[in-house]
Amino acid sequence: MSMSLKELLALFSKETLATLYMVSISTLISYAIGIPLGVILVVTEEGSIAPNKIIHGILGFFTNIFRTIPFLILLVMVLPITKALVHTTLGPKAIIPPLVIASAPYIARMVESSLKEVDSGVIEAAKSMGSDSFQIIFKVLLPEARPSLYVGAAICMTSILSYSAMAGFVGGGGLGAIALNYGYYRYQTDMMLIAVVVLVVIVQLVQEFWMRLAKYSDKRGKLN
Amino acid sequence: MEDKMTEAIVKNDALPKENYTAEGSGEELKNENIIEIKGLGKTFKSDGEDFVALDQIDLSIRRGSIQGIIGLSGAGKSTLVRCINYLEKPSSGQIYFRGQSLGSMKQREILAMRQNMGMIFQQFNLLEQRNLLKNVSYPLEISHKGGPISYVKKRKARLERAKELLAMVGLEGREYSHPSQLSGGQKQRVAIARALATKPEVLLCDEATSALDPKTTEQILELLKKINREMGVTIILITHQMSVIEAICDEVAIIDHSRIAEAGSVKEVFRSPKSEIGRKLILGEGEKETRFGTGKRIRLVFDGRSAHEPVISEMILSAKAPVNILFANTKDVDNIAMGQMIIELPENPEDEFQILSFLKERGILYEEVHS
Repeated sequence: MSMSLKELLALFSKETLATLYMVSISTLISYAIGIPLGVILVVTEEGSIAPNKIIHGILGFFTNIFRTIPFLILLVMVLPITKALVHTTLGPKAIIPPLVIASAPYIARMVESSLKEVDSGVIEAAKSMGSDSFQIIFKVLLPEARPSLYVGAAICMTSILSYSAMAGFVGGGGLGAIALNYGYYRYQTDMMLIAVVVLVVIVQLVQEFWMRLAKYSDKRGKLN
Repeated sequence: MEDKMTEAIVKNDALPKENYTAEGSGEELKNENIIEIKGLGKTFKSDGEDFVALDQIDLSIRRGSIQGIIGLSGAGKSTLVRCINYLEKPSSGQIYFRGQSLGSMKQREILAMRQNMGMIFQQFNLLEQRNLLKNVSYPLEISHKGGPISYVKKRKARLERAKELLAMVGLEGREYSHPSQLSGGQKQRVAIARALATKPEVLLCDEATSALDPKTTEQILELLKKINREMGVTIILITHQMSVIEAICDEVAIIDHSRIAEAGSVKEVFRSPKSEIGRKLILGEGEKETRFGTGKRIRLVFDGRSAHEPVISEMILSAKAPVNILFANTKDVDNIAMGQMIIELPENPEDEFQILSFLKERGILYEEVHS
């Protein structure tokens, strides 16, 4: 390593913060889009509370398309959109639009599968008490699926984190950029390893946080 | 005996009709039909094929009664109960609730109607992530009228009412438990408390005791009976178990192959079932016993009076002929000990005649049983 320890620490803390910034902002925006999308996917399904074949079909098609495109390609594809939204195609800010475009459909599918786990009998009971569709969504579906949604968040955040590592290719910065710029282009394997270790630690912490929250919030299967 | 039979038939035929003899206003109210089902049909379409779940169902449910609906699985009874609160939309026919046709109601009115018609299920269907208090207050939350400020203000009142309801079903002190911590019977109690939160006039029970053991079933039925008698809630109970019908129902409708095979008071149907499926359900376990023996078999019915007399001994003594007892049981129907017994008659025609004339003389109902 040609850097002093001080320089090294400065570099890593800067890029770790950049990664955390990218991931947390993208996660928030992606969830803001993904949850409504997931809810709409569930309720518009045939036999659900507000069946609508057309809306369900269109949404399902688009969520599938965006999940099929490899992230690296999507990243380049959406550059014009990125430029229009954040007025730059460089740095951590520029990686947020492609991250959101890639992960919102993914989150929508995760939310969909969590909501589908809610027992149809419970929904029927809610209907039998005279609940309207909004009450079923906000008082039954989402609260009953909460632990499963938290588990889904652990998976989604991990995959957003791994996408964010690719930001290095388009000058997005972050830990992935260190691994790429030092490890790959300059053959500094040790730099790459440190970046990977930091990423692994972040993944572990994120995973642990959501899983604990899921376990803590779940009222099923708990004894007195 | 002939007279009794005809009387029973006349009574049964008169039941679904609406023309009641007015005997004072109180009696009139009691006789009013809270729900009327007319020509109800439901057809499900799957893969281009039509499946008829219900066909031409006519049934009137008297206010304040406990109406049983019994049938084997797949007979259409669960679909019927879901049509009553419009969870399933009928394909044909009409349902009237308090004289108003559900088919002509707007969605908003349907939702309001459901708050006046509670429902409990075989699988309880409680909100697993809510504690018991919040489960019972759920219907109060969704039926709230007014803005968000009064919603927040009334929170305490809702929880107070939920607490009372939980106490009524015998779960005081368990307000902050979650459904997963309860036994099946306790879960059904919570479901009952929840269904009654909005003070409905009708309670629909869809196989409410089918997932419970016999002892717990008894306790839940006892609770339902209490709710019917003390709060005047009309109960419609769907089951495949005749014992449930006999335990608490006033009236029964037997559904077979999507149609009503017969309907009437439980006592009358027990005494003289007219349909094949009715006989089968009432015999219950006795059905397989009828396969034994080669002679002519008859089913005797004892009502409260004869159940306490040694009728069989007297019959054997008077006819001086032995009979073979294949099956017997006694049930509490409407607080009367109702017994049934299957005997095999002697092959000698004279002995058979002696026995049958003894039964006629004593006014014991009997009918031949075919296996």
